[in-house]
Amino acid sequence: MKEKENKITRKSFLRTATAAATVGALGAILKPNLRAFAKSSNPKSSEPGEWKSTTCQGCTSWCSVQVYVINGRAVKVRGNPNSKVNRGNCCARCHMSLQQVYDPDRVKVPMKRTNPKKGRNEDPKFVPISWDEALSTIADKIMELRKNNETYKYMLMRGRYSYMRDILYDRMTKIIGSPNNISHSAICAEAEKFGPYYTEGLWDYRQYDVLNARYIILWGADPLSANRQVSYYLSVWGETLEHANVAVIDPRFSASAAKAGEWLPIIPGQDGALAVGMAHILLTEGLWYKDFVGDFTDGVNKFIPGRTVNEEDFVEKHTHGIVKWWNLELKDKTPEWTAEKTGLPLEQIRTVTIEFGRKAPHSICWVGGGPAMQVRGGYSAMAAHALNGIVGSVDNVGGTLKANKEYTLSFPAPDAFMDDIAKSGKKHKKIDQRGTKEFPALKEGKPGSAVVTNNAADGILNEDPNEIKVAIAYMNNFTFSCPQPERWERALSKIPFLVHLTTNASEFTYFADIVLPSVHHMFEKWGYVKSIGNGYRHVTLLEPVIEPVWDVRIDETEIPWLIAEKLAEKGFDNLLRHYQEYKDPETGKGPWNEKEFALYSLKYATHHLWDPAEYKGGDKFTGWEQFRAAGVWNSDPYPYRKRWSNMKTKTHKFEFYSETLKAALTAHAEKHSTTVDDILETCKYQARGEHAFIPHYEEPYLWGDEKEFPFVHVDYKSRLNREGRSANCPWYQEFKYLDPGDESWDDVAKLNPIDANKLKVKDGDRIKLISKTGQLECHAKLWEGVRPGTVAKCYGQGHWAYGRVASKQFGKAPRGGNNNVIIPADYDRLSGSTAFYGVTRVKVVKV
Amino acid sequence: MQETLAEVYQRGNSYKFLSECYYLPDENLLEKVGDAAESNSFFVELACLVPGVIELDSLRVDFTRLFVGPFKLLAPPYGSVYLEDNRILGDSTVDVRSFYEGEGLEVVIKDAPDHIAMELEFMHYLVTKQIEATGKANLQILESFLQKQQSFLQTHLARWLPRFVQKVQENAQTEFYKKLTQLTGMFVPKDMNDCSLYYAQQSGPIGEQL
Repeated sequence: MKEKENKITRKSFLRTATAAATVGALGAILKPNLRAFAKSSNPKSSEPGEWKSTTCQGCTSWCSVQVYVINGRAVKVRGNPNSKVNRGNCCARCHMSLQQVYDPDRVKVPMKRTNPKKGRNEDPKFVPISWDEALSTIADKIMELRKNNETYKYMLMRGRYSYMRDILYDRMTKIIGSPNNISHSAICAEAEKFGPYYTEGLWDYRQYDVLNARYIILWGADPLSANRQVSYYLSVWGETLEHANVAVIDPRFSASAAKAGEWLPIIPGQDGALAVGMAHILLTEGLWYKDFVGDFTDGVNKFIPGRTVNEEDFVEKHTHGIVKWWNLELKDKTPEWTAEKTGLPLEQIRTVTIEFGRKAPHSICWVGGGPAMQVRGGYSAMAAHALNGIVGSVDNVGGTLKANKEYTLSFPAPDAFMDDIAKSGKKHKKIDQRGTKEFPALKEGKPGSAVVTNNAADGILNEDPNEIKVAIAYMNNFTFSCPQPERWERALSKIPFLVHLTTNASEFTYFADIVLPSVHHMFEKWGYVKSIGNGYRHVTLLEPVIEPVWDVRIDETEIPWLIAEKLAEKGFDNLLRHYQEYKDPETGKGPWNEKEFALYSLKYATHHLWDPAEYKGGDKFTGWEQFRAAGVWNSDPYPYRKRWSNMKTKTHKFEFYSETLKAALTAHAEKHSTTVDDILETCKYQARGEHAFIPHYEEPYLWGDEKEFPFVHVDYKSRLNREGRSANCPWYQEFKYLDPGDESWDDVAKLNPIDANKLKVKDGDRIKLISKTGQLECHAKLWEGVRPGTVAKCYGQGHWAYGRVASKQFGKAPRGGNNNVIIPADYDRLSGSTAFYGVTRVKVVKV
Repeated sequence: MQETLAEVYQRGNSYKFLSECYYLPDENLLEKVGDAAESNSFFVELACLVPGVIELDSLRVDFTRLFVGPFKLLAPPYGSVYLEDNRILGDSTVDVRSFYEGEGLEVVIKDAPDHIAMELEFMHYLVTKQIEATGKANLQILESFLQKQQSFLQTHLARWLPRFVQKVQENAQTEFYKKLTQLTGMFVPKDMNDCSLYYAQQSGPIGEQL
């Protein structure tokens, strides 16, 4: 004590001594006046860290992952070792999520717009408001629609989702009384599903049995950086390459091409030509898999170039229409013709095809979005996928597989809670114009059943079928992610009341009236998703593993519940009563607040996975708590060949001549009192007659005249794109060079040096890419990894309103350009999909 | 001597006042600034810039752009953004939280613990504890609270404040926030200095620095 006293200076001691005498009088004046703090009742001691299970939705792999949490703070991530799909692996995207969740630019509180004018040049002038004010305003707007009997003018837009989606997307929209729940699926890769559906009756993405495969063709797919189950394929690719050859079909040198034996830099849009050309070679060389396809009655191959074959001479086993397909399409698609159309060496085409055929049935043709998401891409997807039928790898060991069975439950039906206003509102036509003559959108064989996401902008702008007055959107950014985004800017400006539920404000938020801060799915949310790979399916939980820093709510559960509460306060309690039906299976109790609702609805949907009394298959748990801690349920292993001759096609066979597509197209034509040929003409396809029902070649439909726009634009996705949400992460920019040909902190268009020299463009030159619908600025990169005559640029940069890192100078200068600005809004109308690839020509101009 | 203690009170009040200014402005702002200017001439200039109720909206918009977002946060009010790599809730934030926890305080608002309003309020708290110790003439505790103030400022607030002030000067659209941060930027280092003086001769190196 004495020693301490000596340390006090004379001056301070004097002060202290005097203070002691006077503090009684003044002390009352300065008691701590606390606003941000409270005296802690139980002082926290430092907790040891813990790995907590959740799910990464940085891409559609949907890996089950774990987060290391210390004192409520996430510090690192890893794959969840309990998953049989991603088996403890995760990829770079998952690591980047740490920079997303702790992004200072996140939306922190509910906000409202104070500038009533909307437009790209109108600062919204957002200010914080309370949750109560935000929810009350939203409920008022919905009540107004209900009062005026115009609930169909309500719209829900959905981007990425978990399987809790139906609470907000489906049930709420229906009970309010609108047909207008519009998902993002058609800007994802729906056309890719068109191929397997109209051949094998599977409207879904596939999994690939790579460890048992002996030959793998990656077609416009780059699984080592994007597509599905990236972390799994990355982890087994070394082993895969030990016993399988890989050929990559892509106009640009992708990450997967860098590890492949063959790279086929095809002319963009000529995928259909290559597919039918390969089918021709497989048949003429006798390389079809006889146990699946069947054989000629006399065992002699009559598939001779240019010659038709009698259908009676061939007996099919598990397929339908191989001879019809040959006669209608394949017989003339010779290797010479194929080489000319595709711009690929004839020898390479032959070598790849023959080796692919010789490895049957352990040969995979992995069809990605590349060949499919084109104006006439549905048929290319069919043709490329049909190669799996020829080699018998469908549903087979070392082949292409569907999803395993799982046992999650649907949420309670909304029907009993839909009153007359809701029922009549729901009967109106949808804002994306699906099902009209020009948009067949034939999901799962039903005309007008697939979403036409990007066309909703035109529906809103033209008030066709009607105007939209109130819209809620979540986890989406259509003003950036859809081609010709300027249409969305105008469409959103036109909607009088727009609410955006989001983690980060984006180009979409710029047009919102109210912004609600949403949880980050991986760290702060209850939910679940399903995913396939490695011959398994997992159902993996999204769990709140950290304490959110800001006042955020769960987009798919808590927010709809809170809106339902407000609607009830205002006299409409149907939605709330419906949500109260989502009872906790453990206790039978209904939810009383948004937090209980978020948890009970998840336990409800996954009930049969964790309750031993309801066990149906796959992993078995003792109860919810054990499931929650594991974070993932795994299915039983894949049952090979169970679907042979048991497919969900009209014939139950693998259809080379698609009776299923014939029925769907005919139904659509009849609905519009016309012929299939007329439908195809209206929808920009070239096929007429029987060709409409078979996988066949269609010329690419490209926007722009070759003379004025000499290059074909090649769009692709980054291995760092967390579905277009990571551009504001410094690591995204820092590691951008990991995308082959790209540069850190930059956005480069890749030109082949042959073309660049002709244009006198040098590395690093500032250039403009100009198409018929728009232009963007970026830097030039001379790179041999693109086919001459094409310009490749990765999607992801070009944000003008995302955050401090994403734009070069916020609100003024984007970092590079958004590819969608130069891509015209066009569609593969049979699937409703937006065309991203092989769709536009561009010219390159030095700035 | 009476005045000297009043100075300490004034320090405590000033921290509290500054902290309050970094919340979304409301109708009470005018009163708060008026009171502060009355008791401390340092804030007189600020009082002249407080807008009337009518212009409160533009102040709110500016506050939001600078300190809340939702787009590019123009002047992040979080220590870790400056002390670490542009993110919130970094190791430095954990350290800030342990300062709070060391005083038996927990954060009760939904925001990162190294928000400027919280760091300023924490200084206010430490000063009140200093006064409390003074009242009890407990020199050991008094000394410890002086030390804590100095250490907190040196490790956190004073380290990132200049860069924060600069961002506000570059981006603020209202004179109020320019002046507020300018004054904050002057007050805190000066106070840290005063704090050091109280404590100056207690140990060699710091005394030598001064």
